Amino acid sequence: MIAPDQVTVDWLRGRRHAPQGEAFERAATDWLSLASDPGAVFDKEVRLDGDAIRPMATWGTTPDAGVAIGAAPPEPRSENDRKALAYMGFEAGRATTDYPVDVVFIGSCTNGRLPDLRAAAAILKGRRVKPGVRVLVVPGSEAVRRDAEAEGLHTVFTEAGAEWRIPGCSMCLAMNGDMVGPGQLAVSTSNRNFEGRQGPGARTILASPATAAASAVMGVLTDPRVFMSAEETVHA
Amino acid sequence: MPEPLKTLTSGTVVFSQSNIDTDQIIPGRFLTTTTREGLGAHAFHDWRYEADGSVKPEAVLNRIDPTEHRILIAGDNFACGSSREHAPWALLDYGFRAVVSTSIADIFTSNALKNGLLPVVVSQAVWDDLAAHPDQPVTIDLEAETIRRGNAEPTPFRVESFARQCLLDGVDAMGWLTARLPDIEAFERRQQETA
Repeated sequence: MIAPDQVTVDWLRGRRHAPQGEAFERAATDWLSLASDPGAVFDKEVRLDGDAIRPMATWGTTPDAGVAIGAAPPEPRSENDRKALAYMGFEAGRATTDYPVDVVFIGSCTNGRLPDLRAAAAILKGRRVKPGVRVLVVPGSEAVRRDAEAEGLHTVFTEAGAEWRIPGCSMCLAMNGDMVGPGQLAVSTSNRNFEGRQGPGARTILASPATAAASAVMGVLTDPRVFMSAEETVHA
Repeated sequence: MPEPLKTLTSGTVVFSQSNIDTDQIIPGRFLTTTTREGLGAHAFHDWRYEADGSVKPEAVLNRIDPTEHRILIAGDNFACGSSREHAPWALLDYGFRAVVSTSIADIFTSNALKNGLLPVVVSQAVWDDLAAHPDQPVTIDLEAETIRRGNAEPTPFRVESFARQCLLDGVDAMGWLTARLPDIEAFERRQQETA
């Protein structure tokens, strides 16, 4: 849970399904009142410095098994860790940016919002997907698909060599035939990397849309900032 | 409608690894069905079958008689991952009636209870004891809310009370409600008379 603030209210104002007019102002006042009072006491406080967090990707078969891109998986601390490394075909001490990527999946309900697609498109614009890498881009909803197409994002993706698909679960859980092949390595913006999640024997790295797009261009897991310094970065 | 569950004495299957997720219990590609029948064939599918569909003869679930192994003893954080009602459906259709772990994912717990599969959360010590004796039957007494290995001392566990009553009666929430139709209709009549 995150305390509602003015950013939340500004985002919701005028949106479909949000209250309109006077009703919205009443609702906004109500929402803002839900934030903790100044001086509230918590059982535990954790402070995170967002600026210090480098782009992350998973190395294992649970979403929490992650490291900064370019860092190597840690020495296994449990049987689960060993099993995860073996399944992924990775080694402790060897960066996961070393391994060729077969599939890139950008989208799903988790990372298929308009800003996510913009972030991916900003990297793919004017570039080409590495030959041999299959790239699927799947908007998170029909509304997102329409908005993305109105901005021309679909053209950016298809010109780069990616597939622009209709909204749906797609490769997130390999339910509709969009599957990662046995042993293939995928960089996916979906939210689960369990064994076989994207197809039997599929190996899944979870990463952000920008990272997925950068990896599509390079053909290996890639920190997207290498493309961001040189040009206009992602939309706010 | 599930059979009533009052006491269950059965052999067990022990999957001791932690974090068994719902994609292991029933892979996503089998979710296109809207009926429960036959899903047991796909329970833990990729643990039981090779990629070409051939049977892995060494896989536990391919070796045992499901009717004699109705209790799954599973490692910590069982059934984490995607919400999918097919997970309890598949386990039930395979033949399981209860799952025992040191923790069981919330969404799965809710789905299981609504479908007649009993989740039982026990302490690590009790779990270790159960897992160490896979050859011994386990008795779950839902009326008393206890679980017992062989003839050892029973250990208490807790199940949410409405779900427990539904399991004891062998009804789901809708069945519980429709069993009260006469009361509902009598109430409606009274309301109309006094209106």
